[in-house]
Amino acid sequence: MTVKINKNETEVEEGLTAEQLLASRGNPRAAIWVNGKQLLKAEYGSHVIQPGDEIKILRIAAGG
Amino acid sequence: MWKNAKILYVDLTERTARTEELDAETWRKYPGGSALGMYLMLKGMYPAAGPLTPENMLIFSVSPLTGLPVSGLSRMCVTTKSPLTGTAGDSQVGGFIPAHLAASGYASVVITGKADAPVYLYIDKEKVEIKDAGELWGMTTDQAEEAIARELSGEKTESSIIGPAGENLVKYAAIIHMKSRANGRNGTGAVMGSKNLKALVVKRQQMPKPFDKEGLKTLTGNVKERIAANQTMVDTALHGSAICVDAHAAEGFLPSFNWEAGIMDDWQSTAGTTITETVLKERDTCFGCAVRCKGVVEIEGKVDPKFGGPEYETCSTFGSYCGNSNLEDICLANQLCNMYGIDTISCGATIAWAMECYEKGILTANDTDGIDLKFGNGKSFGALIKKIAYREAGIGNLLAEGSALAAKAFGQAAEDLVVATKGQEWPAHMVQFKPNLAVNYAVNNFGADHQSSEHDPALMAPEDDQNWAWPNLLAKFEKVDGYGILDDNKAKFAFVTQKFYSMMDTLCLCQFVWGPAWQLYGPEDLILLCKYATGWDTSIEELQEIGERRLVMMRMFNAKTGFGRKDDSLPKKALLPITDSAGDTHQLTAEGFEAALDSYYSYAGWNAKTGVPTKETLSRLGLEWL
Repeated sequence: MTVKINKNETEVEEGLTAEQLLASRGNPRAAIWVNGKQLLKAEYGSHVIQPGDEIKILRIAAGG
Repeated sequence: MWKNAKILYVDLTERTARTEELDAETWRKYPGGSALGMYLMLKGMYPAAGPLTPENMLIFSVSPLTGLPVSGLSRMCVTTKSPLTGTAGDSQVGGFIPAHLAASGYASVVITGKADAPVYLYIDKEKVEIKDAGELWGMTTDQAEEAIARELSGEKTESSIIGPAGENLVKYAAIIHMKSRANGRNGTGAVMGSKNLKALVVKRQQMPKPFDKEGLKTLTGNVKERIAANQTMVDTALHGSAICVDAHAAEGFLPSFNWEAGIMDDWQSTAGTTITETVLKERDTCFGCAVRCKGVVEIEGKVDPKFGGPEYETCSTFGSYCGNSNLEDICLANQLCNMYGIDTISCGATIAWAMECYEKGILTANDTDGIDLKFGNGKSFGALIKKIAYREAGIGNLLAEGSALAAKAFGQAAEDLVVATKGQEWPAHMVQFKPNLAVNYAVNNFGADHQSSEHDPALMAPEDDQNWAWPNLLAKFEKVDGYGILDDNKAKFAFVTQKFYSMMDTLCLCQFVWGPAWQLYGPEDLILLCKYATGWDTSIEELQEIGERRLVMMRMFNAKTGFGRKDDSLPKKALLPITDSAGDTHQLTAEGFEAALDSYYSYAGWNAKTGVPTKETLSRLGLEWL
């Protein structure tokens, strides 16, 4: 299925959870927004990605 | 490219100004920022001098790169002996004054002595005047900036100004530029106040041209595309540093309730994305920067956009640290700190400490002038900040000392709640989550600082990611899988990236734009920048050595007054277990920290017992004279 990740159209497996998506990209602890709503880490394992979702993945390392 | 550098010396006691040249060879070893500042302090003052005495030096420095029309190059460093920590002091500011000070022709402006009445310093290249500031004394930073502009009508100037907090020697008073940028940390504003110096005013100048304009274009001409390709930069440009609230809270590592927890309910109200959606008026910039990360907020009738907006640290210290989820209170606190000239990190953190003391009965209403200091009472900020700025008798004068000193009046129970190292309150990055910062916060020469080494997540990044690739240009690290790991690899990471950050504070680079991991430009870009901008053929090795030399000079300055390993310590709260939002618990141990500290000293070439650099290390860095 097709989703948008950081504005780029990307093919991902159906039924993928947010946790699995992040792990597949090598960033299991990154912050993630799905259709504008940010998920808490506790939700990563249960939130299933849907076709057409607009996803933002952000890994903030430092700053302030 | 290395020519002699010009240093401006201003003696406020004698009301004289003179220039001296620093030879090119020395300039290359200490090429600006706080490396040059420390060099001048070590040559020019006794380390044991009191921070608020005329003998202390207050030094504003830039670098050979400052003022070029490239993103992230307009930073100015203030170096002095800090009244908050008693150590070497260091703080950077962005905006426009760095570029114009550099264009004035000076590498450093060195202030010594004390004026017998309030003054401000005016610089227009060789024309240097010590002007009367009697009318300005007592004004807030915005009032003073506007009054100076009126007095110098017809001239375009940039100013760095202290407010009432600096005048009243608040230990964490800041120097404010453009009403919204701060040399925030280490109490540099109090040193300025102790000298009766209200402002540094620089006339705007024509900027210098780069050494190789066409070459520079090949590095920076595609900056917009480069920002668009880096998601961290996209979010920094869109939400500013406050986006860190979102990222840290999602994981459960947002310091909350004076570091008792890693999350608070309703943190979303204080998130960077919420600020963008609700109170953000516009984004502002520093000279020549395409990132435009500076947020400007407005709340009609309450918060004036001329004071900018809260950065991540301010959102945290006046937000989650205090258990406060009211964004309006945070924005107002930010405005008041900028008006009065106060560091938002130390101020918010000190109030959070007082709140926990109040909750636990260590402080009572008798101590707080009747102010209800329960966690969550953001409505107390307005009164508290004003009392601090004016050192009003009671809670104001107490909190104006900072949490570490204030706690001494209330015994061990109060001291156990302080979250500071060397007297400086911790910034909002939890060491249970990023343990390399436990080492960095402890050893850092001017107290805990989050911008003095790269943060741990870079070591967990995928191998094809710049977050992994760039640090590994500096040294080879082992991949890390998971949080809470503090070992030899992390100690090495702390030291190696600390050298890089130290070099950036020497060359006066913005650490959101230049850096060794997630930033817009990396180490190899920096080599090209030096070449195209100034004709300086350098290497990662030379740049790392420049950074290390600065660290060792600061270390030696401190060692001369008795600082050493005993001061490289963690507050008790750093060893508390923290449960993240996924339910996993992370905890550092005292033994693990001490072992990492041993590793750090070994990498740094410092004596493990004393924490002081060895003779061999001094010799390797050309610092035998120390």
